[in-house]
Amino acid sequence: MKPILAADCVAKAFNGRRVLTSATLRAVPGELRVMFGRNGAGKSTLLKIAAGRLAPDSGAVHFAGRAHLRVSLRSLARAGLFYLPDQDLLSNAFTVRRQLEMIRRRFDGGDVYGAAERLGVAAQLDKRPFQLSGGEIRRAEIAAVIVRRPACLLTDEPFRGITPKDAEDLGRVFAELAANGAAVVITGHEVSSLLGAADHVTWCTSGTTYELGPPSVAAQHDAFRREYLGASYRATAL
Amino acid sequence: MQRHWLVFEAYLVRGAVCWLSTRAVVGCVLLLAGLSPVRLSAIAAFEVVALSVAVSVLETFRKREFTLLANLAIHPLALLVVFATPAILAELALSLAAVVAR
Repeated sequence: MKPILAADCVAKAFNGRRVLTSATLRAVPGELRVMFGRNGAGKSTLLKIAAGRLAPDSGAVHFAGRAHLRVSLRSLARAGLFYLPDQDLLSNAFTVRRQLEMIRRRFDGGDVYGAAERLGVAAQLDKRPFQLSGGEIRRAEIAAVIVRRPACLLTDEPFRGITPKDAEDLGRVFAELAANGAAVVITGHEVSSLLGAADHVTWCTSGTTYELGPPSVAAQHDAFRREYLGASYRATAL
Repeated sequence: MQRHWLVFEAYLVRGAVCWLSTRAVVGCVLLLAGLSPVRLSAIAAFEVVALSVAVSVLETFRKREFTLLANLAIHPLALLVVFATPAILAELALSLAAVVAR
């Protein structure tokens, strides 16, 4: 299927240090894509550029058939993208219910209570994020994704700092979103949870990206195994 | 407008609170200088509005809400207008009150 989002030949340097030289990111409707890479490899930078949160030094972003030369999250969001950063999506100034309601009204989204109940944060709806635990905040943010019903979701390390059980549940939510037609891209290091849920693996390394294909194929990729998964990794569940 | 109302309502309140804080500080400074804390020239009133909008934007930065606002497809200029609205209305009301009281 044709990608809804494509960030091509992306390059970015910070203070003269090249993080990305020629990286590519694609989000395909109905697919859950996972991007792996070591810390500092540029995964989050590539995701931010694709989401319009950071300007690339070179490269282009295409979304929903349109080229965006000066891409902004605001314009992509209007066209159906939702970007979930690694932290601080929800504001401490308002209750979770109010923020989810803002999203629902803005985009004719789904049921707020239903989404919160699905993620196990219905009892926390009238609290502000600073009153919640890290795992509850993450689940509330993913409830926001469900309310939004995006055509494309880019999410940066959604499983960071949460329990393996929560990671498994959230992985199922992302897989469901993809099964319902959304294009989902996730970054992270939780290899077993992510490989178990993914349709496609992208590896970000040395300033570029490699499309490794389905998890079963990616797990057999020599360089990926050697440099990222580690020699002791065993692809039991794939 | 209805789609945006819940967002704008929240930020109108922030704009009003920031104007109130800014005006309180400016009022104290004027009192210390022996001037009227209520009656301001048009230019000074404009400066107070600009200052309160700047404070509102800083507060929004401090609370790291720009990713949420971008995800809501809210234009930054619309946000500036929302922040300025309560400040402009309040300054108009104060200058009217000052004229009536004279």
